[in-house]
Amino acid sequence: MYKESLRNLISGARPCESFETMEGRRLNMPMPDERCDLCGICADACTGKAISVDGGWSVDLGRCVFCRDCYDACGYISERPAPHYALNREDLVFAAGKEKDVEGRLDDSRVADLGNSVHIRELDTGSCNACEHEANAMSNIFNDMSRFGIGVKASPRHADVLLVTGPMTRAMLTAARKTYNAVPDSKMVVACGTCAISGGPFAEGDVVGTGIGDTMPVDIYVVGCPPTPNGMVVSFVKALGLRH
Amino acid sequence: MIRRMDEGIVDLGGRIRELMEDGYGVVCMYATEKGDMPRSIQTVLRKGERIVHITTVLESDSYQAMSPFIPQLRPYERDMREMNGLDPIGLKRHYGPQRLQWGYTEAHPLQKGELPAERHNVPLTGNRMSGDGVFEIPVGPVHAGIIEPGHFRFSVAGEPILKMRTSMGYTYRGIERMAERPAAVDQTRLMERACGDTAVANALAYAHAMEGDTEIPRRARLLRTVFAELERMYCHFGDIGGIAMDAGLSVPAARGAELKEEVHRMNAEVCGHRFLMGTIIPGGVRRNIPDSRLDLLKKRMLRIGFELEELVGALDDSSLFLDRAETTGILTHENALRYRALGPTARASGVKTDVRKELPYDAYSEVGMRLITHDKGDVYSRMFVKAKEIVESVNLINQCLDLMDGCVIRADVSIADGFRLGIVEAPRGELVHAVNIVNGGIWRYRIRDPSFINWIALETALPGNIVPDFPLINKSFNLSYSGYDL
Ligand code: SF4
Repeated sequence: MYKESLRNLISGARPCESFETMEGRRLNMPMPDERCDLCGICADACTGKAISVDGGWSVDLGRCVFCRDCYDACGYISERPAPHYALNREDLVFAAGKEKDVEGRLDDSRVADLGNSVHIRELDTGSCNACEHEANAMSNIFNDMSRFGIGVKASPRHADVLLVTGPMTRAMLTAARKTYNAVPDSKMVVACGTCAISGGPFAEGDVVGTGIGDTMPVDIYVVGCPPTPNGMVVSFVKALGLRH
Repeated sequence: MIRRMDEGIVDLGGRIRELMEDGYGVVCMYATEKGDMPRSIQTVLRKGERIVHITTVLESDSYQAMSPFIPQLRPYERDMREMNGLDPIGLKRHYGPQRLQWGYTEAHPLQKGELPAERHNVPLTGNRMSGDGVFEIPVGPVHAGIIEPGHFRFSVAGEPILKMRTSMGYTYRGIERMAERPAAVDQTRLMERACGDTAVANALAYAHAMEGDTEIPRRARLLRTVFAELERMYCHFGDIGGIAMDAGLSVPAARGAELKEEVHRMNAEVCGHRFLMGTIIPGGVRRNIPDSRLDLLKKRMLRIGFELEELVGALDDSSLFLDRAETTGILTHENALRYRALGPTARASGVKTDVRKELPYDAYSEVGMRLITHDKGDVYSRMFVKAKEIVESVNLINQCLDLMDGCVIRADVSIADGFRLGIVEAPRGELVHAVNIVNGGIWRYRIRDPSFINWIALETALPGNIVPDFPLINKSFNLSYSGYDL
């Protein structure tokens, strides 16, 4: 193992994946073809109530847990690559047959202070811990987020970005507010995963509202349950305009 | 599975003690609310494959405390107090981690009907150490690394820890209450997300509880075993990498994370989800691994076996690592038995316990496996057990792939009323789902995660260790917060 590491060091070869590969590896979202007659089988099969057929077919990626039950229920639905993130909650709702590019970039005024690096403080507000595993995986050798200038900080006072997972349980409310207030201004909040965006499977449990948006303003919505680590890295790089 | 139902025992504590002398251990204990069912305490005990289920009907909201003479029951009594409001008579103070961060003034979260809006904070009480030179260090709920929220108080005199108090409940989402739906509704989604890195085990326990005696197709049973072992592999790789990281060895740590990622990617390739969510369903499996992919999986298994050897070899050769890991955070054999510690944690302390062996479910009865134990109970032992278990998982998966045949992967399930139980071996240990179904609806759903017990084991392993070793010890136990809080 050490020999191999040494060889990599000498050759200068990085074991990590290129940004393009990371960007290309996406989660899949459902999309019906033109045969769809809005019968509603898919909406009934969807446990997260992400699919709606009232007034045209649409899927809300903020509620989708990517379980693929809808593909099993209806043969007219096929897989389509999903976006990694979006900047507005409404952008996560996709209507049938409409392509749109939602992976925008935050205003220059928001990211001007960042230079070319961004520091993250992770805040768990009641997640199921899969999102934590994926957030940890951002720093493994495949994704290697530090090459884009992304790092994790131990204290919110040193952070630019709050990466929030979980649906905001009542018990975490005070701690979450304090953490949010401790991040210095011109901060950004990232809602990571379905339950941070909309409460997901826990929306009717002991949580505050639907997702973290009811407690703090959200700037970036990272899609997935859990989002992939490469998706998280790509979201940071593209939304904050980091060099890659 | 052999079950015996006993009803209406007055002296529950005495009865449990009798059974424990006979070699039984308490697997799960919980309270049910009045309504379709009488108010009662449900106790499940297990010895090997023999299971005893005791229903004790309660007349009032109190019962004779049992934990003073049965330490295993400490977390359960606390749970019944905080969640259902049952008072143990004669118990001066509760031990073990706090279950909730808040309480209702006049109600309890698992009581039926609407809950009042008014709540108050539950302060962390009891067991505080005081004296000259004794200080308390509070940690959390927001930690320095990327982990879940929980609050710890270390009582220290200088560097060594005298005592740790744990306050949990930050990730309480009310899953047990949410699960009280008609039994026919498929709740796999919710159960998988009770604890994300134990998704397969939770879904399996849920499925076993719902299936009862339904015959599961052979291919489905084999696939379930493969999925469960894949999950164990990535969990253990993550732990080994984490232990190396906390011991300050960055190359093995990176290697552990790399191998974990490889298993995740393999998962995504063979069944479409990195954490294998959505693979299991009551009655069988939802995702098939086509025969054409089996060879691929086998090849990967072979490679992972080699790489693991290299990784563990690098740690074994490092005197730096051994210095940190050996004799650190010892969970003694006695304490492991006393609190009935579970899973790799218990096996590292020399307790021979493994549901896969004792109560074989799915395909575990068809394949051979070794029970890995170690006798020291320190951080190194736990790492050793986990590393060896990965090798066993590779073996198990290979055996299952060889046996794979048939093409049916799902059977129909009809859910009957009564008491249902699902016990599986999750990566962290024995995981129990106990369900009471009345009139086709779930009256009470109880999830008993292995972490529910092992948090107490961690508290007993700490005293005498220095504060900087806490992260290392904590990582070697690798307990789940969300599985505890639910
Ligand atoms: S978004 Fe999904 S994976 Fe992430 S914490 Fe929530 S339930 Fe778990």
